[in-house]
Amino acid sequence: MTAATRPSPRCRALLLELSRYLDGELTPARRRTVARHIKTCECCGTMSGRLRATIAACRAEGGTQPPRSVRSRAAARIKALLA
Amino acid sequence: MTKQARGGGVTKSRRLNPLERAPTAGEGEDEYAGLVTAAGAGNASALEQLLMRAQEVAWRFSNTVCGHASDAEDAMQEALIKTFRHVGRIRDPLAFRPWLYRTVRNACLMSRRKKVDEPARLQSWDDVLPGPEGPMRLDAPHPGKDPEQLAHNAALRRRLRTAMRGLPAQYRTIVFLREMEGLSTREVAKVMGISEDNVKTRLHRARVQLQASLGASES
Repeated sequence: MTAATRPSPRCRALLLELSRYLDGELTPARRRTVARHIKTCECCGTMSGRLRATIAACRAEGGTQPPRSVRSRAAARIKALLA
Repeated sequence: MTKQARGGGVTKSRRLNPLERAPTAGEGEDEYAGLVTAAGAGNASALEQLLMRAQEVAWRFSNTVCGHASDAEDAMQEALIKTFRHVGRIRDPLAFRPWLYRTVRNACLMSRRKKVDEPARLQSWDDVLPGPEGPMRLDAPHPGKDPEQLAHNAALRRRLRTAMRGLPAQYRTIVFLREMEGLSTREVAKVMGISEDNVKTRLHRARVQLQASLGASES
């Protein structure tokens, strides 16, 4: 693909594999093929970068702890339950 | 860093390089399984940790997926009681984590069955993140941090929150479980009651939709 706004059928098919590529779930041979394509296709390279950033943003949100007041109430409930 | 360590107050341990900390299948399972085994053997500290985690999961699910902060305490109470009753009967400790998330999901969705697809008032993550004295806003000044980076993070969080709000409830749940809570694809499939291939497909579609929303809000 040469134009970012006009994905070819091949690029559309590859899009379905991008998540698995980014998650490391493709076979080595398929991974190499996708990696080569991403390097040479502006559209797929851009999409890969955006998906990667999106995944990173989501993962950065993981594991948020409740505020102290909420945790205090949670601890009090545990204490009452185990008493 | 383990979730136990995060429980000690480091609330954003995955922020530094998230993609390198991609959830690994079995990592979280083992951690929960260890607590379940210890709690089942009478370790009071392990039981308390497990009960606290169950409530934290319920709080995050309520706020992130259901988007109704008012329901969070009810969901936490439900998760606490069900975990307490369930933990002594567990035969396969590895099955605990999917059970917990499924229980929390059911508790949250039951209480908001009619409104779960309409998260009109999705809880603001900015408002609920903890600071030294309770919730703090991410865009508030933070000594020792690069203000430009903080502003960027806060803006990104706001955009992500808005983008999450636009996802169908099921996609939002999968993103939450897989990306934010670090469950494996297999665990997510168990929680959702769908195949692993379905999880992968829906996760991919959710990612594409999220990136489109994030890109649109950036421009």
